[in-house]
Amino acid sequence: MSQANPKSKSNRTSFVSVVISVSLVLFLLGLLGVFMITSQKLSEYVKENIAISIFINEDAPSAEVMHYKKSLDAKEFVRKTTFIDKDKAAEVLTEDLGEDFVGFLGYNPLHASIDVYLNADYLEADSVAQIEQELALSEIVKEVYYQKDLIALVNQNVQKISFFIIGFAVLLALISMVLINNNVRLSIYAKRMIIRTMQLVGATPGFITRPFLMNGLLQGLLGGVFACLLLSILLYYFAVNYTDLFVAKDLDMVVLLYVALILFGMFLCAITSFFAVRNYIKINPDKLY
Amino acid sequence: MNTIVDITQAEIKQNAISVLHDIQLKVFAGELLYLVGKTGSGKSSLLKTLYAEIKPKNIQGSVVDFDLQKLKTSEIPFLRRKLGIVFQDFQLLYDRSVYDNLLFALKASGWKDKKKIQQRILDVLNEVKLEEKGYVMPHRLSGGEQQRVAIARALLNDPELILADEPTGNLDPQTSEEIMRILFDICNAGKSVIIATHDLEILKKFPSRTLRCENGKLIEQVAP
Repeated sequence: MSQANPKSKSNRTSFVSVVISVSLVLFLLGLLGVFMITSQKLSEYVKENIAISIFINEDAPSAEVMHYKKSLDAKEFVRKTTFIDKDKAAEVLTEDLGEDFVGFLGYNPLHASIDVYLNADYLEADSVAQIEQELALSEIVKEVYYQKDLIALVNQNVQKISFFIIGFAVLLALISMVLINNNVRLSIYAKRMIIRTMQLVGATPGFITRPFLMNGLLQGLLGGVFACLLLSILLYYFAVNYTDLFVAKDLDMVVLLYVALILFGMFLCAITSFFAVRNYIKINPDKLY
Repeated sequence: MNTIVDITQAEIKQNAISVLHDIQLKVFAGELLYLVGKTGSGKSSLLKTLYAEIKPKNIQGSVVDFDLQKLKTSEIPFLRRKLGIVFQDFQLLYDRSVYDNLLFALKASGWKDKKKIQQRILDVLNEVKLEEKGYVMPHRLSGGEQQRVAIARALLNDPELILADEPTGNLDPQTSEEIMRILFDICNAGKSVIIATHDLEILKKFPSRTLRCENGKLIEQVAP
């Protein structure tokens, strides 16, 4: 049974206005979600492109070097490795310096190296130091080098940004709860006399609450679906015009975000409906007017 | 004689001020009882006590076999299903037809069988002579007709007791008489009716036992 006559224009308007408010609030939350996913991916991208360089001894046989590279590839913390031989290293440095230093010196002083790119999770100062020790154990390794300061700086900045985003997300979630709560309460306030009539004819609190709860779930569901549609339009626009946008490529995360938004909307609308109705069930009737 | 209301002791307070005290009230099956008194004398508060909207701490007695002292909040809906309540301002739902108002009340009080629901609505509309108005919206009805819908709604669960709080307060004398005649007929059919009113003309035209709320007490009023 519907607690309010669905054919009534005012009830329809009230229902639609709650759905619109919920979808706009959820859309904002979704935008923040997209921003969070993008920054997470961006920080992973930055971390995974910092290399640890392993310089190889001059006399190391190339078969052994290749075997060592393969063993590195198999390690859990390694995302990828790149082998750079002496000649390639000289070529790169010549290009960077703009001078033929090999011709000037008469020999190539550079060593062959393996650049190791770590998985983002392992790019913490402690882990990298441990990995450095592990890498240096091999006899073919002359030196292991990485920019400690850069890793510290990246981690520090990622942490700062994460704190800011989490703080902002909590604030936005609170604001969204207040806004949705106010909208739902207002729509139930408009139906307080229906609740009163139900009580006077002998309806139980459970019977009175149930339709409001179902209504809240429906409003949350519709609000969530509309918010996801708006987000999809926005993501499509970005995916077409800014092809490097990380989140547009990460469909799993987007789907997860959509499901979370819809469930959050349904939960919030249902819970606020529940408490608002309970409030009117318990209220002193004199305060209804 | 079967007792429908049997209050042996009660004190009703509002905002910590005693409105009525030493209340003793007995209403028998098929009896029509008037509650009269000035505005604020406690007529409505007494009715609210009977349908458990006000729950005085020191009350002893029962209404339609529900012990008001031991009455739990969860039992109030079941008490109200055995009562019919009529208000001065009708308290109808203006976003739906007369039929839907009654349908809503029946469903809210636990009715499920569609055929029985339909039959019951037709029966009560017939009882208040509104059989032709089922699909009319309440705002299109006159005040008297709206009050008749409210009475029809009160009759839906075949209650043992009808509580009417100033049922003619918003109506002209002729319509008031029509409403009183319906309530009188309901009473003659074996149901008890308690009417809170200050309309003395009604009392003259439809005389019955009368209690006066005066100086915080409920006093039996002797017929002139």
